[in-house]
Amino acid sequence: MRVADLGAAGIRERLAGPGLALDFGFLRARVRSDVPGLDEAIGRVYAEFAVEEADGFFDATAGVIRARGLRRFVRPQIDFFVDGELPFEPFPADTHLPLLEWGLNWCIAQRSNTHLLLHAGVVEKHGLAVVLPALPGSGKSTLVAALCSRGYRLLSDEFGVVRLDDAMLLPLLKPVALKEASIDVIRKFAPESALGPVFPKTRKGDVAHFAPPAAATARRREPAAPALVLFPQFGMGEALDLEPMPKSRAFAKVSANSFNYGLLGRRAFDALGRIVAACDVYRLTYGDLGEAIGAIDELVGARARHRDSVQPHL
Amino acid sequence: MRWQLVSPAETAGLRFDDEALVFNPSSWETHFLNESAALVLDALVAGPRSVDEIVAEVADEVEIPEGFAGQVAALLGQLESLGLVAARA
Repeated sequence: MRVADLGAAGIRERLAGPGLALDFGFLRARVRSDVPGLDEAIGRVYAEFAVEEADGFFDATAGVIRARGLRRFVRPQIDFFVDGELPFEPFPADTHLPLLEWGLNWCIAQRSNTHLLLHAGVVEKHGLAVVLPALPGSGKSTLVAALCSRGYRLLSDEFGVVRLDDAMLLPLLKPVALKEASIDVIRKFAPESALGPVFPKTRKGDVAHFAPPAAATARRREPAAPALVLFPQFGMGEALDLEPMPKSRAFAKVSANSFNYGLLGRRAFDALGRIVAACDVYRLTYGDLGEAIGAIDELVGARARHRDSVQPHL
Repeated sequence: MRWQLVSPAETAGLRFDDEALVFNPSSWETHFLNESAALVLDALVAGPRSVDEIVAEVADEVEIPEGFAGQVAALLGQLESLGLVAARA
């Protein structure tokens, strides 16, 4: 049974009661809420997640609740909570899903120091992971969503989760936050994609979420081996350009953008070293999503052919 | 005077192309080294070395410029300030 099958009423009942269990792959959260409208939004962006019981162990019990005080009558506000704490100032009530997502991401960044957390999107095809480190304005989330509409499996958008023992990349499936013009870009590029409601004028502008597809949620326990590191840079009208990047420079950029590289010491150095050593590294400049995906397809296909030629499938 | 790594077992290095990275166990920082610095550190992995011994080992690997011993001494001072190497009498 999928979350979408619960319907808004079923989701509302769980949010208001024992909690809605969400299994992101690497982590599990129990979400509770009394905020109107969140049920419908969750039903859209977590539609393909499996329905699970809300008892047992969860990495966090979190959610958004209506804020107390007089302002609830004038301009209603909501609080994000996690395990009984309210870590942020209240937000406007009509930003319930973005606040829930930001709050959950904050929890993940704060609490997941058993693994190296890269600030990167990760997708997979032919068993090969493509790591897309995020730099502000790079168009990373748009490219991740577009790739997932063209046969790539989503592992994560915000967090590249690296297992320290073997440098494999683990799924951390959360909705992909699209901002401003990216929302319409994905609507046009992949009209069949499931997008959640648009939340206008949030602190990060207009935001809508690309729902993780069923192909990704079904394989939420399946890691992928790193094969490519691509630093995407979108530019309106830019011609496609794929430029090899020195690996030492890639190491520097990825480690500097990691959430916890500095906390994990030698184990992070070794794991990131394995990733960079295993991957081809490029800077990808593009102005057209279709062209960018075509270039990535060629790189991934070449890696898969090379792998299969030296390690044929039995 | 001889030079040695402060924590040989915990110091880790990686080489990519003509650059090297070293994990500094004293500070948990990652340092980026050019080819010369990497060769100097490589020489110390085998054990304590004097500047002259380091120069001789590096000369076996690459062509060294005139006055290289002075550069090695200065480099060792920088690595010492980072907590990677230490001098012993």
